[in-house]
Amino acid sequence: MKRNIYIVLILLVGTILFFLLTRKNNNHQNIPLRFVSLAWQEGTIATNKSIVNEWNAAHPDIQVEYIQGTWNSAHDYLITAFETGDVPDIFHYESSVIIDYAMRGYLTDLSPYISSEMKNDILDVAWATVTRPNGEVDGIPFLIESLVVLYNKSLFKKEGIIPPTIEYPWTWDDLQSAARKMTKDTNGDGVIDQYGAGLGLRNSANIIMNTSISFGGSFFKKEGNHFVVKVNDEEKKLLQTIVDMLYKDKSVSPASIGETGAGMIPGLFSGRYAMLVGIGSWGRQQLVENAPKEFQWGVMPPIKAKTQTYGASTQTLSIPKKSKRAKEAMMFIDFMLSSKNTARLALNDWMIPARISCLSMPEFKDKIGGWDITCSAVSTLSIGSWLGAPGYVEWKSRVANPVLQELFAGRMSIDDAARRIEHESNIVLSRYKKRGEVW
Amino acid sequence: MKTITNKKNILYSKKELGQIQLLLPVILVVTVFSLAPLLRGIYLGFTDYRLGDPISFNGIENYKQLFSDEYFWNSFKIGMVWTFVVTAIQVSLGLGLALLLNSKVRFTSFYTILILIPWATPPIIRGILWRQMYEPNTGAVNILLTNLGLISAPINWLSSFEFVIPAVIVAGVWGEISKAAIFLLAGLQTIPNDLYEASKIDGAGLWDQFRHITIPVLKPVLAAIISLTFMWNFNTFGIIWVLTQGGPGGLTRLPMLAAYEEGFKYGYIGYAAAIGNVMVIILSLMLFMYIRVQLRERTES
Repeated sequence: MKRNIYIVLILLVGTILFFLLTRKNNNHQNIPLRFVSLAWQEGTIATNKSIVNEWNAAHPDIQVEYIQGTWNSAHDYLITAFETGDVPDIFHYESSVIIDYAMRGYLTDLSPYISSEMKNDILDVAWATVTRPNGEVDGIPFLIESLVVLYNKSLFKKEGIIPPTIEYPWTWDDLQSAARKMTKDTNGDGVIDQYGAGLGLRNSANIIMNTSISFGGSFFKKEGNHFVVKVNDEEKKLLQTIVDMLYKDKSVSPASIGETGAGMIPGLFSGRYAMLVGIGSWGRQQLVENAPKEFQWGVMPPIKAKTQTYGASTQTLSIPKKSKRAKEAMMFIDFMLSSKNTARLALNDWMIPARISCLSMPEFKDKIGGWDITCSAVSTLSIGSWLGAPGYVEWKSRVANPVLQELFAGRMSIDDAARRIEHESNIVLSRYKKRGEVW
Repeated sequence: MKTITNKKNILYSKKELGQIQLLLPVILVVTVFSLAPLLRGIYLGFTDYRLGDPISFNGIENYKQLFSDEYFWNSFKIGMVWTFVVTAIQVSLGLGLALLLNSKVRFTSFYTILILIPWATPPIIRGILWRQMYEPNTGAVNILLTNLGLISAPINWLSSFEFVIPAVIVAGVWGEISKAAIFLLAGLQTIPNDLYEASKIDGAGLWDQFRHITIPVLKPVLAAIISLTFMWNFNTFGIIWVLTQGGPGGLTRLPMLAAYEEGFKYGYIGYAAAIGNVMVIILSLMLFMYIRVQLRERTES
């Protein structure tokens, strides 16, 4: 009896010791670098893996282990990693979030490691999403997140609507009236079954923020050293346009409320709406993969409000400050994001590559798949005034998304939404003001 | 002092020492994986710990801030509604199920297994199941209601401000009824049959039996299951997180989700820990009151 207890105790202590000892081994040089990727579309995952394999074949001394992360859990995983010190050496994420990490001191400044080739080849607007005013660089941007309008070509033809071109882009008025024309009850049962447009409005802060720039708005304004949120006439006009389409014209499918952009894609190819407005350019990949072969679709150039300028963010690779092998990790990033590989990643993820040399490749000027129009929008991209605003990430999920949900669900007026956004923004931003955090 | 402890040591018999040794592994595990994190959580509630910053003690600063935090109190109100409604439905439906299972129907053990299945499913899986059921275009709920002619257009249950609360309550109740039912069934089985037979002779109907025999005898079990269910429901996280992530517009943001968001999403670990501490205190107070009332009633009768 007694002996059994001792055996249990020894086993227990043994297991704990085993874990402690094996953990230490992580510091050894022959352990592979850990690369956490958030690729989720099938083609991109395959490309990521094959690039890692190519690297591993060429660099037997610095092996890289591919770890599959997900966008939903990346934040929890990363902050736990940063706090415990058990970090990946390279991770894939998005510019607006890594800015937040950088302000908390979690990231390695990459500026000393960047080759001049890379520096000159990546678009300025992409660099701007990750560069601090003092020149620190917190990640290498490689894909540009831009919003596009996808439309059903056959439906447009059937309804006699001529889609916009790069030379003759649409204004919001054009889009609104086209949407009105295409909204109808096609089978005569008294219920509208074809809408002009669909929008993924579940978490619409991203769409609204990036689109607001074309309306001349920006939500965030700098006052001295601090940011304040103001919802002025420009921002209200954008909100009004969407609310009108939803409730006055009824030309936006009500399914838009509470659905994500990705969730709206099937409705586009089943003909429930003629346009999908404000979807990431990666949405094209979903069409290629899931839509019926005969489905004809196209991409519209940016819709013009005051201008055609939209806000951009980028997908990035970064190195945690606690990684002990930043130099080797950066060598891998250099390889992973070479011009050739960036082009592969962009093509497979159906997103705009951040490198100038890629944009001049014929693949990115192709009419098929709407690459020509998608990539031509690069010249219209700009950086939102909120870049580097301490607390922006919290603001977006705590203030902007919930208030916009209520607004678009028809539960509050635009003026009330504006007041609530301004009031709650003050509360959130003051938390960061108190700490004197700066970008 | 020394003599007293010595005396105590002598008082431990060999048998008791053996028992302590048997408990040691459990004590070790509980200390490392439950007690230590709990104590650290309580401590963090008195610090300004924010992700990326060093930790420093800041006394009751968090609690002062919490007191006027409308965001938290909103979620607390939602949590209270959720907890009372879900607990009430779970316990009453659970009691109904237990009564059915306790009556002399055939295949009782088969039914018992059936009602145990939802409980055996982890909350996250339950959430995923219900999310698929509520899916606007392909979900079973909308398809069923459309086929029955009850709705003409699909409802987006989990994003609609009108329907989201009933929708999550149904999903929340479903998974945990069996817990209440099993507890209460055990309680019902302890009631001796003579009591019912005697009352029958006295001319009592089914309702009288239920009111005057079942409920009074079952009271301690009921009190226990109500308290436990209340606590569990108040601390719900997984199923709601999977279903709505607290949306739309924060309408289903239960206190646990609020604490999680403060801690993990926004990085205010100290503040999140303070929310945890306050919730423990509020919950303990409510349970203390409830159990005291129960005990007083019992001693009176």
